[in-house]
Amino acid sequence: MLGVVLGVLLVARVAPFLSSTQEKITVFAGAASAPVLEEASRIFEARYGVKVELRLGGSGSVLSAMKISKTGDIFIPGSPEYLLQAARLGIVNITSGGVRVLAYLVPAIIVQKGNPKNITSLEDLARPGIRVGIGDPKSVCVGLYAKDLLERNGLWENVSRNIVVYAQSCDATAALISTGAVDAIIGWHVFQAWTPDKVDIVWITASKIPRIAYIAGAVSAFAKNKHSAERFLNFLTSNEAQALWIKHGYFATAQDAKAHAPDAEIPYLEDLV
Amino acid sequence: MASLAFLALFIFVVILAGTIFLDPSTLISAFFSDEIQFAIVLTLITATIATVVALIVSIPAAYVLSRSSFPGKDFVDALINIPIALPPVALGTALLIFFTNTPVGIFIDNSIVKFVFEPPGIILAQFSVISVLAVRLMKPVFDGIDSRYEKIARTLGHGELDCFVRVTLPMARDGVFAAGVLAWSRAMGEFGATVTLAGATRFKTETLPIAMFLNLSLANLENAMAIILILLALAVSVLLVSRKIAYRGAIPS
Amino acid sequence: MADGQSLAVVGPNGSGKTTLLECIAGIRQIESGTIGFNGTDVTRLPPEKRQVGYVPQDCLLFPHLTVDQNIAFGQKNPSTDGKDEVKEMMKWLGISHLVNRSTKSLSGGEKQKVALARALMTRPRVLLLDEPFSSVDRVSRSKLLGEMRNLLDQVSRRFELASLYVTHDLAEAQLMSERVAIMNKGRIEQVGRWDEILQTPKSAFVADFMGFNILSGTLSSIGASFAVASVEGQSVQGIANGLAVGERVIVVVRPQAISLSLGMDNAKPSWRHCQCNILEASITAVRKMGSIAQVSIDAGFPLSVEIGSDLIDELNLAAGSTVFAHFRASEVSFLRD
Repeated sequence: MLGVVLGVLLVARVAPFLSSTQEKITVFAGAASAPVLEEASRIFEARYGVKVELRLGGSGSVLSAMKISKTGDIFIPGSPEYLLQAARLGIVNITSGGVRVLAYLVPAIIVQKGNPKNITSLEDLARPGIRVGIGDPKSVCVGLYAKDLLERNGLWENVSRNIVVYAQSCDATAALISTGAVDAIIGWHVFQAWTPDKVDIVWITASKIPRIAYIAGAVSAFAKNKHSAERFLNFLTSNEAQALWIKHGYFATAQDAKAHAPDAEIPYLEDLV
Repeated sequence: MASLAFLALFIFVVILAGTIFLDPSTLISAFFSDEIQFAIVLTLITATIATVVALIVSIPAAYVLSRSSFPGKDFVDALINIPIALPPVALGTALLIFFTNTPVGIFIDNSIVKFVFEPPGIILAQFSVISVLAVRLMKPVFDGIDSRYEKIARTLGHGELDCFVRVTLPMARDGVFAAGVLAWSRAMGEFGATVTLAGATRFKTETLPIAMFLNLSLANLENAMAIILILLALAVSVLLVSRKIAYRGAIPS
Repeated sequence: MADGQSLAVVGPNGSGKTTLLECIAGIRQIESGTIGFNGTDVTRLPPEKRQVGYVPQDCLLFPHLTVDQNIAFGQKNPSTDGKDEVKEMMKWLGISHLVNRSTKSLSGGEKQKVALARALMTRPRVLLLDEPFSSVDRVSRSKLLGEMRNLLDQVSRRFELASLYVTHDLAEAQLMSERVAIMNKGRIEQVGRWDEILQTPKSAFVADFMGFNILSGTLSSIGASFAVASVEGQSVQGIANGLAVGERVIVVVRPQAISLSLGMDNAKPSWRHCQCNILEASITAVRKMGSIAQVSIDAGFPLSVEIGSDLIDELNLAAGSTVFAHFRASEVSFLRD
């Protein structure tokens, strides 16, 4: 008897997930934008009744997943380079103006709370005994930027000796420092906002930052629900959403980002193509 | 009979059908690529070391569990079974937390051997996963050996350890060997605990399963498939070799 | 026990015979008491130091070793001398042809010899044999028993050791040794020579185990040399064994000690001047078994009698006949209930 009751409750609980009557869009996104996407999707769903499924991970990894499975309504990587890659694969179209810029990211050094190893600059990362972690340059946006950053400052050879691990996504990179597994990471500035009680941020000298990244999204060629996908992307650029980005620690405008890196270039896709 | 056919079909379709999409030249170039060659050697070395250490620890442990009764034995028995129920990722995470957040762990990691994100971490991760498996597999082996043989050997003038080495172990040979082969295979395929504790660093902590994962995340399907076939080939050859060894001079159990 | 002596240990299954051997060998812990060899207390010694040779039930030859490797297992220094020692032992036991053979294909008798050789290699002071013939069928057993007795005699003489032979079979034990210990429920009830035990069994269990008639009665009077007990209204004379008048007693007498005749005069002329019990009884059953016959009679209580088959024919005894049972008072024991 108890079993029957439990069974019915279980089915009732699970059924909504199994039913396909509700409209649904899938968003493949780099983990860099996770906190905002999660909150925004909840608001969107409540307001418009469209279910938003998030597939998060390293930008490269989720792109691969889209490529293999040939599904996905929206692609929102953590940096424009991956949009370009997606465009080359024919997964998104970046020329027709379908790209929406959502927020800006500045690379920074994230250290353990209290900065026990007293790291104050990029050069400090090359100090013997310092354990550094970055994202995997091949599949994670912040990893790509970290390597580029170090190379352009002539520090790649020295610092890479101290790199002990390459994380497979933005949140895994952030976790490296918040769990205390390494002494420092090069991550997005926003990582500090994710776990402020566990980590501290060490801003990189402005002149050393060659590039600022931005989170941008586009509707994919595999989209089954183009209308709702467009709607969600529009929502993400709305004033309401902008407030969300700011609340979660992202830079909503290029100016805000440039305040930390006046000489940095912002790789607009039009320029990249 | 039908379920056997189903199983065979399942394995064939899921694992081998993927090879259709592979063209031989890709497979060969993948096999000989530096990255995969490194991964093959690393996996073989770490799995073997982990298995040897696991056996050294688990053989006596299984023997004691089988033969003796001591206060708290049931508790220890249950404790040893816990890691099997834990997903390897959880085990790896527990190890990571131990080495980075506890005084003892930090001391070991900094002053004795570095495990976190280093190759020794691979061995430790594999060891953690397979050692309890090995104990579970070998306890019934010792259970099945009549303890009277050991007792007789004692009356013939040999101490406990001597009897264990000269009588119990040889009689348990087949079971120990089978357990070892299984443990080794499991170590070869270990992923969750390894990637968490040792990281997925190319040319450093990249075992075959991790190499597969990395290639998948880059959508390098040909490489990924090649690695699957390599793992399969290794598994099959180990199985064949071990059966040959087992049948040569089989011991009545 | 002295060197060269042998002792048979008998008792029903579960009486603790194997446990006794295990304790002597040191492979089972004892809770209280001591074990001594030649005056040396070995209670604290581990089995490997006690120099006990143990031939277990089922022989338990090591399956992963050859015959000669099994035998050599107990050697202290298996050098080249060791090899000769093994060969010599095998020759002495007549199993030289088994060298290098695996233990799998041996016959029961061969296995025993190998197990014996293996136990003797350690030059033990005590040899323990645990039911060597328990898994052998009756027919082969009688053949092998004689062989085994000879072999053990030779072993005793050559190696000057004391040996214990455990079995649940009374006949087997009688063949193997002159002295016996009878065990029941973990206790040794009586130890001594066969004739001593047959003469004076110390407990009802021992008497029963040896095949005595067991009767219940009350001690009615004690005389100069014998006492009288009342059993089902009949008076029976026997040896009092320190019991008091009025006590309930167990009356035991061997079937072989009873003789039958058709009249009240003594059944055997030699008994003329002895105290004798003469009871009138009727035969309830007669069973001939070769030269011996078992006769069940009712003398107010059932009695089992063993007499020669020729007497049956001589006296024309059959079920229903009235006979007189004669047995000497000295053959009757009164035991505490």
